[in-house]
Amino acid sequence: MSTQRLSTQPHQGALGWPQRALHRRRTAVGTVPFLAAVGLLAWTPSGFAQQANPAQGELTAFVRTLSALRAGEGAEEDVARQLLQQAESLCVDFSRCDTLAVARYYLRLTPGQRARGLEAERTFLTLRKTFQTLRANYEQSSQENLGPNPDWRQEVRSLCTALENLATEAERREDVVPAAQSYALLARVELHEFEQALDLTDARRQELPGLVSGHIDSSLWLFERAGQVTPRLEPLWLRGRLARARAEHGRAREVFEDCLRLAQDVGRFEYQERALSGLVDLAKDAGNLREVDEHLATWASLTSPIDSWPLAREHAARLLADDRAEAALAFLTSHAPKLAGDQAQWRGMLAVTYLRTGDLVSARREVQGLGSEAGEFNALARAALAMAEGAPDRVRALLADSDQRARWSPQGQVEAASLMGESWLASGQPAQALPYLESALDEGRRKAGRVQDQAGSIVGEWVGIHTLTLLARAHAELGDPLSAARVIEDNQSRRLRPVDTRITSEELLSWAARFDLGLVTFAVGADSTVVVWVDASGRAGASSRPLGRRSLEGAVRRLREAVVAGDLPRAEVLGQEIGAALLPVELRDHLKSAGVGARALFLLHGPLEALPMSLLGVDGSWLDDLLTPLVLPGLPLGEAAAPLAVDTPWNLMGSPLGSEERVALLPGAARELAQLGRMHPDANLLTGTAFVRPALEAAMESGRPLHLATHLVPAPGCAEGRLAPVGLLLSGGEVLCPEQVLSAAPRLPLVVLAACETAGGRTIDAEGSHGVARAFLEAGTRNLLVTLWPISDSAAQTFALAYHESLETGVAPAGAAQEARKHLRSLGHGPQDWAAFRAMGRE
Amino acid sequence: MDSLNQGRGSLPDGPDDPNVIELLTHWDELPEAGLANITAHPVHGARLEMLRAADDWLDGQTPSTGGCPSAGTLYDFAKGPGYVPLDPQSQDEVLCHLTECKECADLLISLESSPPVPLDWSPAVRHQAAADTGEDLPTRPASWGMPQGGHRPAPIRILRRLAPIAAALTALVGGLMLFQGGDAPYDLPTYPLLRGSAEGSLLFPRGPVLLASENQDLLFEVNPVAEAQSYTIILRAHGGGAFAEGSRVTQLNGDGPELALGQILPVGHYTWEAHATVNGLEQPLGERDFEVRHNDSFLQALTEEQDVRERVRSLHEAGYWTDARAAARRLPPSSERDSYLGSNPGR
Repeated sequence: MSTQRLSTQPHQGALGWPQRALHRRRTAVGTVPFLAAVGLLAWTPSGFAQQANPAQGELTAFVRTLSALRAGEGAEEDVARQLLQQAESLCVDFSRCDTLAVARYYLRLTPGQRARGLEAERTFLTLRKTFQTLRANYEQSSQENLGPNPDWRQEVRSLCTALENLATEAERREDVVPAAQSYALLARVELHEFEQALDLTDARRQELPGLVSGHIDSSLWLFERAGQVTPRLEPLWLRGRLARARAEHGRAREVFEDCLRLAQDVGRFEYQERALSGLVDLAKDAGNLREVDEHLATWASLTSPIDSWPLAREHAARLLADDRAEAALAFLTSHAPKLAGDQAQWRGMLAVTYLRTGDLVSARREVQGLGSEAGEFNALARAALAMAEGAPDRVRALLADSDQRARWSPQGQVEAASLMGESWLASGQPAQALPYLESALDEGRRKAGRVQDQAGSIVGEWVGIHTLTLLARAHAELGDPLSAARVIEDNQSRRLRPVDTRITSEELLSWAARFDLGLVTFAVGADSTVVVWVDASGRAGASSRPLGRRSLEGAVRRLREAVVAGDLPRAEVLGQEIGAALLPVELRDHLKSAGVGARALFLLHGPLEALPMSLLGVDGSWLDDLLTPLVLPGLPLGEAAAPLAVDTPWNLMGSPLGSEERVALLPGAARELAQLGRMHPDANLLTGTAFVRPALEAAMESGRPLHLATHLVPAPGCAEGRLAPVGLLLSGGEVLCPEQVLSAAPRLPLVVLAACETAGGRTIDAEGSHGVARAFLEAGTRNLLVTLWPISDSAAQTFALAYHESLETGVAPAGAAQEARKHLRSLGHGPQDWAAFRAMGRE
Repeated sequence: MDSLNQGRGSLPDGPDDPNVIELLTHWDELPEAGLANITAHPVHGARLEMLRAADDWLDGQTPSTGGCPSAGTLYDFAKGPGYVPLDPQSQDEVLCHLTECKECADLLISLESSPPVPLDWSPAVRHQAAADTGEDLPTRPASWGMPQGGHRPAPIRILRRLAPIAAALTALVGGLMLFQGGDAPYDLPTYPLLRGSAEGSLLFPRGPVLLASENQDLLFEVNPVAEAQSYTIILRAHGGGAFAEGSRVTQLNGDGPELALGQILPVGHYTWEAHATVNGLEQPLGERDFEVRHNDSFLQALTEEQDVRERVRSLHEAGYWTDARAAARRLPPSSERDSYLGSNPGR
């Protein structure tokens, strides 16, 4: 939920490559000259932790023997025998059987061939030193944002030529390992050029991916020919990076996963880290925080964040993405990097974190500590600080150089655009703000089209809802609240609509006209919430409320806790407080205007999706006593089932039996279904042993309204994607996962999900809560009755009967839900019983 | 029954209020509003649920399944007051039936925790009677090999038309225990049966907490996190508003998922947040509120109640779940106590 404004990845564009690529040799190995040829031992990139390899001692001995063989030292037969023995031992004791292939490869060569290979390798090592020097120079110039140095560029070109010549020559010899190494290094240099887009001509930009790919392929093929497994790690890793740079998200993930597996197999810890770092980057690209968390957990199982600055940095960034700046600050303070070269990143992270905690004095101190250089991160940090200090003119001055911004990373450019827009808004010039803010969201949309990760959210995690709230504000301040509503809906819950569908103002007006009181929508940013309403006649209004995401999350949580505890007095107080803070007076007056029975559509986003709307306070009344609320997590524009017809036969299903004792698990559900069966004599009633998967699948295809009374249970077996791993419990312990609901594509007029917290699910910022209700909604089910928290079995039974009785009299689903809630209230039930039920859908 | 307006009026909380018992005895004659009022009651609702379930079972199962023993046989099997001892063969047959009858198991499992013994609502009488009568009134036959002490050695009050139900259900308690091979908890209170669970990570404290009651040392309990090396609790005090941020009171750190506060909190609203540290990375577990309250009259009544089990009951039924757990920890170790401490409201 990256509502933070500033990137949590300082130096991602400018410093990412040199930092990640920096290597230094493991001291335990000493100065064995042919280490690079074998590549069996670890080379640790900067900042990454080092970890003991259990086979380290044996590997070192093996490399020494191999070096002696290649240098022609000692009696060849003896050295060869020793080499094979060591390789066999490594294979048997440590599963490092690649050493056998390496030994056999070099033993097949004649002493002369080995000597020529050695000579070529020495040339390679010289070129690699040149590469290391150039990289250090590049790092320095990047920090100062000097742009590519012509001399440096020329030297890089010379290095590439030399590497290419060496590779071509060595490839023709018997010992092809130096060629494989040269191709790998060449690919790396070219990949950097491509990733950083260093003043590339169009021709060069088009040419580079093919060149890099070809060199990676050559390197991999030659290493394979030489029987070498471990050295394949570097070209594999480069292939993953290339795929990422080409926005081939799925391919990059596959390659990094291959790299991770191979690194695990051969015990190369640093490549496990690199692969995991790549996977974290991919997950961040896709705005997929769940995947980020999974990869960070795996990473942390390999090393401690105390020993690995990249891991510590990513974890701190993750805390910031959750708006947990205080926790991030405590973590960063106790995880300072050990290497001097990482200090700038650390200070940058501290500066961002202080900004988010509101400690501007400390933020200023850290920003000043970054030095006077004008790099991407520095410029953005200074601009964000200026914005926080209320100096919008200074923001624009800091970000004025469009040529400079054009060299920044895509995310840096989006952040700059957002800051520019915010600065114009702060200066009271919303018209100037619009193009910047629109460009930020357009870039996000383009990126989302490239990434195609269903479980991620580019708007939510990459662009940030903060930018969306700014854009909505800009429209509202220009006197166009309808456009504010349009951009809020167009950029949130996009998976409710067919791909590439854009919401138009006409569609928005059409939706508003369906409801007596029109519709209300929200965008909840890091620091503010924009609320926009459009009445049935098309009149619109908007207001920006000083309620940030964390603040609203806490308020909604408190209200829910009071409600489920049955503490009605406290729930009333909290509901009124939230209503007063969230809804402007004009909107409250509007909602009070129509009288009981008037319907309003609430498009709830972010933390508001969990808000029990019926308990929202409006000037001393509950919303439920003023109007009939209907809720959606966004505007669904796809095809949907027709509205419910009163005489349509129902499918009444549920009351599962246990898996072993075959006993009814929910007596209330059993009675509920039996009573509903009597109410609907033509219904298809399937309970107990009949409540099984084929029956439910048939019901989902039937087009009939469906009433499900069962458990919703955690289901680890359900696919781990964007939908929560929960399932509707069937008899015998089986579950129906949300993914399976989606696959069945149930287009039903009404589905009653009388189970535990069926409105819930996995929350994806800007996309909403993804669970079983969302699956039905996306599939085209028109209306749903869902629950906001686990419901009591007996209260659910009472509610269901009242609900169906209302439906039978012709009341529409939202009205029937409201009548049933009131029925429970009249019977003395607490809010934990009646406020849980929510009408969701299109009516 | 009329004193409670056929269930529509305010219901006494006490578990042994004769008017409530009278109401429940005639539950099937009550108006819908009265039934709903009882259903919503945190104590009597569960009892009504048991009665309904028992009635459903007897009405729906016993007559229709010829293999089931009659209610009278079950009653005698359960050795309810005035029972006629079954001959050994009949007793064996009933026992055999209980181990195989899915309908019986259906009912028992569906009742989840407390078996429906709706007539046993008089703890004071029960304990006295238990002391007086020893083994004369066991609810489980000794021949089942179940422990005799500790559970419900009470006389069962015979109420109109519920005798067979009570007997059947009491017998089935034994059946369930046999199926499960152990004691079933049925004396300590339980939470309502839900259609699922979303208990979250932060368990207790929650809701109201009594000032200076059981929580001399408030215990923060979270669901254990796999491979967690440590847990951190941050406690903030605030004014109780929806958006109140509050100020930090303390931070607790420990290796396990239960951390003791070690101080008495003044009356007020509190938010606690918890983190687990796994392999050096901090995992947020969430936030939860609780409120420390004065309730002198309740506390006074509680002080007069010497029996720990009753204190647990009273606190639980009044919604002081955190205090009830603290009291329950003072009970002698038992599966019943563990079961209570292992449960939570599930939402």
